[in-house]
Amino acid sequence: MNGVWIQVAGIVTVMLMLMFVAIWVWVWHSGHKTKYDRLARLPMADSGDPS
Amino acid sequence: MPNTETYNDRIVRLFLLAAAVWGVIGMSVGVFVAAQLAWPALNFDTPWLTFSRLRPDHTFGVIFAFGGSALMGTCYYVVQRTGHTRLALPGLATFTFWGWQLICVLAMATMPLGITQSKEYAEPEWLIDLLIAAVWVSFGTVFFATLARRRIKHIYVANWYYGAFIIAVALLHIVNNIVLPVSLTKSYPVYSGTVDAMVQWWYGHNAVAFFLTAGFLGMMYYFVPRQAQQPLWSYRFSIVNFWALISVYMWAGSHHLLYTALPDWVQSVGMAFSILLLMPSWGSAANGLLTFNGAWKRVATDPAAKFMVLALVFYAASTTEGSTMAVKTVNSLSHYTDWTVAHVHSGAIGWVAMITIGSLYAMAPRALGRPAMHSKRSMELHFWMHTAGLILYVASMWTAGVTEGLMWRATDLNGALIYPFIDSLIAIRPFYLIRFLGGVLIVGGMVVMAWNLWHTAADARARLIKPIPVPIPEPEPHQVPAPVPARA
Repeated sequence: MNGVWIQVAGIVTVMLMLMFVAIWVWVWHSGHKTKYDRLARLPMADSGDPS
Repeated sequence: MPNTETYNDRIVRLFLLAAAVWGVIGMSVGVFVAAQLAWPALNFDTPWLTFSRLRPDHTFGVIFAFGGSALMGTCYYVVQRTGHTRLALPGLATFTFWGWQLICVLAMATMPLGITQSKEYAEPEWLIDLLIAAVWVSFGTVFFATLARRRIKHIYVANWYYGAFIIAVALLHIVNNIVLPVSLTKSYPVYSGTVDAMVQWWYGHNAVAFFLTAGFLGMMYYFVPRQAQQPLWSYRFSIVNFWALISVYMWAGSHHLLYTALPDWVQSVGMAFSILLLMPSWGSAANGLLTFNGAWKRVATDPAAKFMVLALVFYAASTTEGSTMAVKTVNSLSHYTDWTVAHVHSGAIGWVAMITIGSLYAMAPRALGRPAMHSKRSMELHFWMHTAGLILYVASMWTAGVTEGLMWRATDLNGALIYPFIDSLIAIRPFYLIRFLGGVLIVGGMVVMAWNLWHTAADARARLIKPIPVPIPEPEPHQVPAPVPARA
């Protein structure tokens, strides 16, 4: 790779890392807690004797 | 108005049955070709019985016929339950079932006849590839149309994985199968040389990533909390793992081409991303295992949960092994040896097959309207046969692979090779016999499962399967889309 592409690759890498950190921050935002707690229980509703 | 909407489990039952049948067929072919490696005379000097012709039948049979049927069946089951809605476009869903079965029969009938593109995991010729594209687009249409009519505002994480699996496999299939047909049964790829190799292994590795990992993680994220009767350990962590997995996996394919004509920097990119893959892989495995926290007693008494726990252990183990093998230094020993075969099968038999079997055992009674499987004792028997077979298989192939690698690189003081190639074959023959024995146990377990499913279905038919009503949740504020009225 030549010099320009190395710079571009570096910038893209940093941006991807920032996006990844942003996803963590977004997901751990306290406003989502109730919703996620409810969703974590969703599969448990599919039980019981159907017959 | 009373709720009269019920889940469409008929299509789920069809895929369940198909998965059991293809599992026995695909793995039986695998045992036969394993026997040929130990006793080469078993090819009977018949072209269509040779290892080279039958090996693609084994891989297609277990990955696409068995795995594909299980993925499509569980996907239809999960998207309905997590959206509290009936499957959309039932006619198209039925087409996906019969279309997929036709593809599997055509592929497995033509490959032994020598009709093949000779691309690993993409052997079927162009006409079958077109049919695959049509069925896959239909599958995606049914899935996303069902998601669009869900009554739960948030899309449950299992559906994120199923969605990524559907979109990525479509992309991979189309790009890797761009060919120039020269007759009904022969075509040539538009790529050549190193580019052809890179496209093939971009496809091959991501078939593992999105077909054998993302799809089965979708299965895991639904059926593990369902079977543990515990909330998912961390829903937040599952979202982070999803984005990490789909961002990283696409770039790791070049680790299949280390020490080849591929540019060195591309090989290094593949190696680096393979190491990064440890994060989402361990994350999902840990999330699944920790979901059993507080419910470990259930694992002792529930064979389906046993399958799931061991599947997660092997998921963590095989992904760790894969990342390690992608490091150039380790790869110089492992590449082209049976260590690779051990790695693939610890992932395939350990992770993929065990999460599938656990999920099928969890799903079958519900889809068939029965309180439980016909025989819990045979489920236990299946678990121990599968586990014993798995350990015999991977332990023997690990040993054989390291033996081969060390013998091939051994040189004397003058730099000449110490061992002729035939010596390495003679050295590993006992391990081929052990591998064959492991395979027999695994197929035996699959026959036990098929028998158990058949009797569970027979019990259900005798009592007339009762459709399960869709639970209609209270509307959430500003829910998009608005809940649809119940209908038959």
